[in-house]
Amino acid sequence: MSASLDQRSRPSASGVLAGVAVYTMFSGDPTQLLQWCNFHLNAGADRLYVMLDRPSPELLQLLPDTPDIHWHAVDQETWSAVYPPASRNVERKQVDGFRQMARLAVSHGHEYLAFVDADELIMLYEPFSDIAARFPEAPVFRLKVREMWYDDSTSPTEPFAATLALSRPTARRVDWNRAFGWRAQFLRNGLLGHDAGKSIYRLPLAAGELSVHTALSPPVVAKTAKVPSASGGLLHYDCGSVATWNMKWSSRLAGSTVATGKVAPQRWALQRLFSHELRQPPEVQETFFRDFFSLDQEAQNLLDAEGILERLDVRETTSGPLPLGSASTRPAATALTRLPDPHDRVDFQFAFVCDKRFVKPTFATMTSVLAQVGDKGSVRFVVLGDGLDATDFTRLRALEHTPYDVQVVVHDITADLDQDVGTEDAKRATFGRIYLIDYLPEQRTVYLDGDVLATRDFTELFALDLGTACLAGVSDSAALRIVANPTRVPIEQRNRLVGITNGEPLEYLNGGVLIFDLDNPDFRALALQARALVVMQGPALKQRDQDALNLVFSGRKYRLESKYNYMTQFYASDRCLDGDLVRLKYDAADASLIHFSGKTKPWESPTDEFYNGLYRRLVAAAEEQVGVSCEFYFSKPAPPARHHWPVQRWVETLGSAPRPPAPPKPSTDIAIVDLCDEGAYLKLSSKMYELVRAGDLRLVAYARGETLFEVPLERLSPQQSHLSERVTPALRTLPFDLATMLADCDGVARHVEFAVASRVSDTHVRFERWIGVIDVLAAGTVATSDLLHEAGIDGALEAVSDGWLTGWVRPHAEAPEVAISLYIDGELAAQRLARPTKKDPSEEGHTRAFRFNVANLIQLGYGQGGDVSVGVSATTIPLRGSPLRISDAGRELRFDAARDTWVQPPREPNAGRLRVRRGLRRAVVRIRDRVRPKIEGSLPQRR
Amino acid sequence: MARHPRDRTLVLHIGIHKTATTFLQNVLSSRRYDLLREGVLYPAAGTADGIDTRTREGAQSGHILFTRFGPRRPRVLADLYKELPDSASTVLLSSENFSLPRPTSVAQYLNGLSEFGTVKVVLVLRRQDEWIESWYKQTVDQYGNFETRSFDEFLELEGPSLLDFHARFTPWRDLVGPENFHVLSYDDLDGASICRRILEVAGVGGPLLDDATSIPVPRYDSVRSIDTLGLRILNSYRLKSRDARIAAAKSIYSAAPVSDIELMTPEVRAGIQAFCAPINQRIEAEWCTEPVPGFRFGSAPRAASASSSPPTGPEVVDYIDQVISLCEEARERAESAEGGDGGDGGSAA
Repeated sequence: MSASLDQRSRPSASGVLAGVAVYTMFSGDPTQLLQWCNFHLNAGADRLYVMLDRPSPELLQLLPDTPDIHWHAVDQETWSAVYPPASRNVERKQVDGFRQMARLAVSHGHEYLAFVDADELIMLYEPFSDIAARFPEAPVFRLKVREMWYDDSTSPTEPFAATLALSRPTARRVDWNRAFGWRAQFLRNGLLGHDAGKSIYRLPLAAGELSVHTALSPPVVAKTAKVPSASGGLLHYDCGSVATWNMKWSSRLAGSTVATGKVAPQRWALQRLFSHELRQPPEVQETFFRDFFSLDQEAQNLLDAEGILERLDVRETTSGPLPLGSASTRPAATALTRLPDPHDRVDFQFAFVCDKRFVKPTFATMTSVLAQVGDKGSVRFVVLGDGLDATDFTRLRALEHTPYDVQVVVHDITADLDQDVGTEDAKRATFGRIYLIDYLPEQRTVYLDGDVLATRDFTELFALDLGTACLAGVSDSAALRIVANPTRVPIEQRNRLVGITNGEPLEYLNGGVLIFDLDNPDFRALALQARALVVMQGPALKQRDQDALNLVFSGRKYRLESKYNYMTQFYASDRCLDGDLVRLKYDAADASLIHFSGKTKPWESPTDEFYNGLYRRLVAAAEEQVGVSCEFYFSKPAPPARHHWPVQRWVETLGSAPRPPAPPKPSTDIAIVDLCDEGAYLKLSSKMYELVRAGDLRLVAYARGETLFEVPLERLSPQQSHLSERVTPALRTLPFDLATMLADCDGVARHVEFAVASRVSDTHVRFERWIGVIDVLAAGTVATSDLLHEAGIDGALEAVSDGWLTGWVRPHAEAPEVAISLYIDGELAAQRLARPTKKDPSEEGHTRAFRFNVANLIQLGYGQGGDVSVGVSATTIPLRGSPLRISDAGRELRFDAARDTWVQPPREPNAGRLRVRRGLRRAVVRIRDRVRPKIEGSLPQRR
Repeated sequence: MARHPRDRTLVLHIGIHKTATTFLQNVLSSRRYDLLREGVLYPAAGTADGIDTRTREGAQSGHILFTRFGPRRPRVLADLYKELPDSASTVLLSSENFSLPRPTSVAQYLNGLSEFGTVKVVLVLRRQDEWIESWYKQTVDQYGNFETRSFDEFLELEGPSLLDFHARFTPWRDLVGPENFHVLSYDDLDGASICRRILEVAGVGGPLLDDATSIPVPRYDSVRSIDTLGLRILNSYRLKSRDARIAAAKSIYSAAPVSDIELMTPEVRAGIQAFCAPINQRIEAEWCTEPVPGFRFGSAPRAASASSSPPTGPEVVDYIDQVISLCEEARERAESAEGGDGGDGGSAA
């Protein structure tokens, strides 16, 4: 540890969180929860709101009853009551729980509420009240996140034992590779977990603003205060302890907690890495944990020099006031979970990488391999696909239906390549070799390019003694040329190969055929280093993945004879006309694996060139032997021996693509579409509707943290099909008398939140699923356009002409569109999205225009002589000019905003004549368009 | 009494094919006036009697024109609204073509029909092993795409997109809502019972419920397996004239041996059942209001009871010879007819 790092270490301050309540949702190691609570209580938090996600009875017994903490346990039955079966999105539940707790916090009189995860601690160096005083207008205070790492001398047995806080760098580029080595590929902006930070919210704040990281609407985001690092921030213990790490990732990999938000590719890669490690014995897991989450002295010095590392030890502040007990009595995390290994060992495992263009050739390679080694034992082909569709997957898996003991596993790596290589490189799929380490079942594997064919049994490669090497291949053709005649190799290429191989160019292996010895304990670490090299420094490597493998495996490589990768392009070229290369050319000609490495591929070129013919012969022989067709131009059609197919083959075939198109997933299970005096219009998915029918769910409205009203959802009407086109599909009405509901607040309520909840019962604590907020809710005669300004909205009807009702609206935020509702006789008849208007853009800013064909709706039978009213959806406040009498909807009227009345527009001189003339012109154009093609078709062509 | 469209109910019987749809449509057509007395319109609009080109008597596809999205659709919709009397509270449309897998969204079927306040869908399902065989026979018979594939090939290529009924019809259920989506099992009900259930959904009560199917309607027999052999040969001739094709098909029916062949091996049937069992279990649990043991492959295939010894090799060879002769004749007739019609192409003129 450098002296400067120790000097700058600051102890945690006590009492700094006075005035702040903190919320989290918890599921996991009880020690972690108790320590989390202790830290924040010691920091002076007013109260902690902890939502316990499916807690065990033992945990519930452990939790002390204290006024400082509000425990809110939610069991699976409660989750199932308000979320449909397919909904496993943990973030959604976290946010809904947060909004519920925020209401509670308001009713408890708290002014500030923070949302942090159970592996995050709020570390401030000055009282929050001082920070808040400096930003008196700020509705939200955003805390920067710092990732916690272990000093390699610290034992990782406590969830908050990591002592090195790493900040995201501000401007300078940090050499992450030097500091973290191969682990750098999993960092995002220098951090392992999220880099978005967390927030402390000033209450009351519209519940719709409360979210995982920060407020959602642009105006609130604009006013958000960014808490300076000097004042404190958020400590993220993504590592936790070995036990919490094991618990968290086992749970994720088992699919019991799923984050469905945007997950960074690095996070997916991390998950794949951990999925491998979690299959190891506990002691290996612990070793990995220490290696992965610890920073050695060199890394500390480097990051310290960058000024982004700080020593912070919070352990003293986590041991009380809630009793943890002694090490022997404290609630222990369960023993480390070991995930089952999904793969059995096979006799011969092969790996491939291909894009759509190479599906057939790769299939041909696999077929040729199977023809040669299929009768020697069990075979597994692992294929990484770039941009493959289901048909390609089916095609590759067709080998499973041959008489051989063969398994084909196909993984999609398109997203990885998009992220790490980009979309420009036409041959980018070859870089997929670096991802094989994520997917290969652990045993020696022979990797083959899709333009390699086997000519004979080469299973000796699986028994070959590689000594200390763990990567084997054949020297690249460029390396052979350097040795044979250096002057014929471009200087740049010569220097590159000599540099990569430390002056031993023959050590530079061609990537077409490689042995990955995953049985060697060092292979995995080296492969991850190679992966990191490509991810972090790819553009600097000319032959990216091939260079990376050659660099990283330096000294651990084994050179195979040329007969295991006979590169046709090289040996067929003029470069092999002299010296040792001629001898090599003929010595290796009777090769076991021929690499058709030319630019023009034999499956594309039907010429008589020798190697093209050889390719055709080899493929045809392999097809014949295995009993499949590679579907090349020279392939025989596959014999459709379907009447010999066993039952399982039929099951797999019927389960393959193309399946019926999956129905689009509804964006939400339940949403408020609109409200009016007669009730609410709700959109419900089928699953949610069934849930409503199965349980006693209610729509609950809150204002000022208290229940305004509750309506049983069993009153929901059938689906309103007639509104599916004019409003939205899956719409139902929930009738209630809004005026009665709002009677206690004189017909107007502000910041009304809506949630779905089960009926209060003795056996279950209620969980409220948040579904929306309305700024101003008014009913009856009180609901007038005078309230528009309170909702931050302005808008009015403009005119009615030719049956069309037009108007404009200006929402409070620059939303791209805003929904407008049209009511006829109090019944929702249509909804439109108001779009930006072009007129007077300088002044009108984000004014939106809308129009409704009222005449058409009346013709459909809406209205019995009452009123037409228009309002911004879900506000219940009419726009100025509403209501308009139905009898006036057929007239020509203009709304005079100054006089707040509808008037007849002044008649334009000659208006009638102009209208007739316009009508005639339209009719002539219509007739001309209809008749002209027929006339022209029958006329002789002009010469 | 005049009704607002949104006070009316639309009942869509969407098939599927090969679940007694033709029988039902023939019954409902025959009962049109009885249904009107019950406030249910089974409209004439949208039917296509005039363009029927089937090879067998009694065929129809109900309101097939409502399943098409061409330029005639507005006209068909206008015809429906014109036909709709004030007294009718319910409109009942039936066409199995609603259930055809299409790239378009199912919501498009309701374009122009969405003024109905409530839309109810009745779907009749059938165990997939029997259904796909029957559907294959109809596909070969209908000549639309000159179907010449064997049953195995058809199953391999089309089965994956046809047999997962849950995936196929979930969009319909979401479209109208679970309470308006009624699923019946062809394997657990006879034609009369299916008809009764549909009428119940449409709100029909009283004696008509029990009496509806007592009216004699045209029979529309299914194609036999042996017929598909001959029809595939006929389809390979790709006759342009539908009339010539229909005449040839009728001759081919007559030429077929009395005994029939099996299109499906036991492995194929078992494969379909293994694939579909979990799908059907889910459908029964989520969509059905009563147990449907037949649909979950709980009963022996209906065809099995009618099995007889298959035709002998010489019988099949004779049959194929006859079919080829019939097809050649049909082609010659069609070519000479084309030559006669063409007029200006003949050299003798």
